[in-house]
Amino acid sequence: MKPIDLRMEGTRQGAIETARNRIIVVMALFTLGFFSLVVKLISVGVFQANGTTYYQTASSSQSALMARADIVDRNGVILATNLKTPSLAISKVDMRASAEELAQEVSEVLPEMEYEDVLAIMNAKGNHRWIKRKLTPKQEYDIRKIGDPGLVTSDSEKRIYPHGRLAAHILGAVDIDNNPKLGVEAYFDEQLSDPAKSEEPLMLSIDIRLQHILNQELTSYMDKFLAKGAAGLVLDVRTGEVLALSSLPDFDPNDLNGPKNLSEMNKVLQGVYELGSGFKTFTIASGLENKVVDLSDGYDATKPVVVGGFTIRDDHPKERWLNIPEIFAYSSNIGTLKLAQDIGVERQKEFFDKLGLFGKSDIEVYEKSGPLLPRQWGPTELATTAYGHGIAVTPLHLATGIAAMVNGGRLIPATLLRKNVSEFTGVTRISSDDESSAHSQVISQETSGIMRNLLHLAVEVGTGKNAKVDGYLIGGKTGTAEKVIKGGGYSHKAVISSFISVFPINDPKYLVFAMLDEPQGIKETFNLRTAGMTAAPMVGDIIRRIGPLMGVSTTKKDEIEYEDLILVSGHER
Amino acid sequence: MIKIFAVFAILTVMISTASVYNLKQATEDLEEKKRDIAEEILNDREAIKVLRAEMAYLSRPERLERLSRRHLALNATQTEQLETDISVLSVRDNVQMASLPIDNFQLLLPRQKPDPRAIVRVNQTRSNKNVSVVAKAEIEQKQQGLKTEQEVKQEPLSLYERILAKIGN
Repeated sequence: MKPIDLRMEGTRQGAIETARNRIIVVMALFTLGFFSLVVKLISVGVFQANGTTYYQTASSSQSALMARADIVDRNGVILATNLKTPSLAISKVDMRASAEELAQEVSEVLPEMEYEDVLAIMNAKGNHRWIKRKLTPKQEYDIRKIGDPGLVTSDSEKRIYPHGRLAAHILGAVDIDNNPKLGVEAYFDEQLSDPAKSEEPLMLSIDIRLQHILNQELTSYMDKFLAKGAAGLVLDVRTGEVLALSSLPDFDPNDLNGPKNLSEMNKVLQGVYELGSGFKTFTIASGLENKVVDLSDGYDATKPVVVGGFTIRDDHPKERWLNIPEIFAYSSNIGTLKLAQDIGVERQKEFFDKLGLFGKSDIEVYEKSGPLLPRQWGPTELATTAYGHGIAVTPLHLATGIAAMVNGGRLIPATLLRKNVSEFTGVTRISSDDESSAHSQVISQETSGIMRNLLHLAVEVGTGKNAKVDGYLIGGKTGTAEKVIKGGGYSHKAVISSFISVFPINDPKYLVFAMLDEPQGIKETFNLRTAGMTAAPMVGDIIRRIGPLMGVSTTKKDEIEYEDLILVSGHER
Repeated sequence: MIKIFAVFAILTVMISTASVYNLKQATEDLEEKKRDIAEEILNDREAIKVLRAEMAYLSRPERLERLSRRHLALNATQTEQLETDISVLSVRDNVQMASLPIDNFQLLLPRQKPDPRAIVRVNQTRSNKNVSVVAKAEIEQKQQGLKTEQEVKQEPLSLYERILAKIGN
């Protein structure tokens, strides 16, 4: 722009000059002002973000709200969830009514708190004091209704277990600050407490309906036989998924401060027992697999045997020569230990090791036990371990091993997580090559077939007769083991009765294990507490209920005569 | 010249100020709406969580069983109500199951040990030779029947293998 060319003479010129300069100054000021406005406009319109930083977005406050992911069962039923539960505090500065008045009203809303206690909290020193943590929605509503600004509620979360004590041992629990204790809560804590994953529920392999049936039957049989405890397990032998796992007595995860809390042990995963005759399955499988014997072979079980100073007798003595199916069906200790002597220590140990009996299981909880093994493997240990004494394992060890015996010989580690979604749609995959190679083959398909037959015989004619269920072909093995007394030796009064079964044995799907801790003989069982009288009918009842529920079709019995199997029942002759 | 420039500048600034303000206001409104919706979503999610927990609580198997016993004339399914095979229900031929047994399992059942005395007794009581011949014929027939039965049992095996081959491909 051209400067204005205006010139005058004298004092007038001087005045005009001054005025011009002033105008320029004012114009400059104006220009500066406009310029700054423009800059500000541009900066506001273009560069400044639209205030998103001021508000919490839905997702960020979501994670702040739900700090722990849900746990659901295999059908998506909620087993554990977090709910917002407000806590009540008193803020004295904002209090309008007198402490006495307020304490009266609060104690009316909270029945578990006495008027004096509330008043004591209100009169205590300090401005902010907790009155009660984790209110119920009803209580919160009533507190709000009192309407005193001094009563402050603040949001916190509570872990809720809608099914209560039903699956307590699997789930575990959390304390008041949401720190996990026990169970999958503790094992999967990292995943559950990850804010990014709080929307993804953890899906377990548990089926809550089966869990209920198992729990109910265990409870009723525990009461019937006045047992100290009971435990049970339902396992899918094809996938290793644990469908139900129960251990009584249990605890209520919603109420950790209750009388029976976390001290209750999970008998299936933590309890280590000498499980008795269930081990005969392994010994005989080992004998067949190592080609030590075949089905037509047998051993003389006429007289008790003395091994290492102990006299070993049969619980159901037949006092004659028994073939292998008979030894298994009649649960002959003598026959089994003679077989074990033929197998030898090395092969027996190797076989047990292959079945995973020498280590902890891979199941997804921290509270699990390893086995108690004999210190050295002499002839006595070889003999006793053959029929499940002198070696103590958890019921899960036994169940995993038996599952491998019947599913074609694959040892599939038990899991608490749901796998194989296609299985849920009803299409069962025939074990393909890649799948079977993923798991170690512990016995051959043929031996597995024979073991299924033997297990079936034990139920059909042997010690497990009471587990029979109309329509289903069941295989199973009883186990009665005397408890070890502290300081050595066995108690003749305290026994562990267990029954492990697989159904349907013609197409093995589910394994059901149940045991009673120190059952007492009752009139109905002729004062016997053996597994065949106590645990076997319990498993029968469980199968009777879960079979139809899981859609297991029944099988017509067509009896095929088989020359090699000759069993003569001692009672009939 | 100055006038035109000044007026132009003032106008530009006024218009742009007004439009920026408008824009700003509109965004703010949207922002507030968004916040409201987000809060609503939060509340709803929370409510859904509570309702789902309540649903799980109310549909506890133990409670359902109790209510069913009280209000419904239903019982648990018995094993007798289950059919052994899908082919029993369908009139169509060649019905195949979606799930197959893991193998062709032959069940072994125990046989009573033969008692020589029993046979002697039968021969003593039945003096008529014809009857024993008939009995013999019956036994032979039975054995043949058994054989044919075993042959029949071969068929599902081949069917099974066919399906197996299909799935394998």
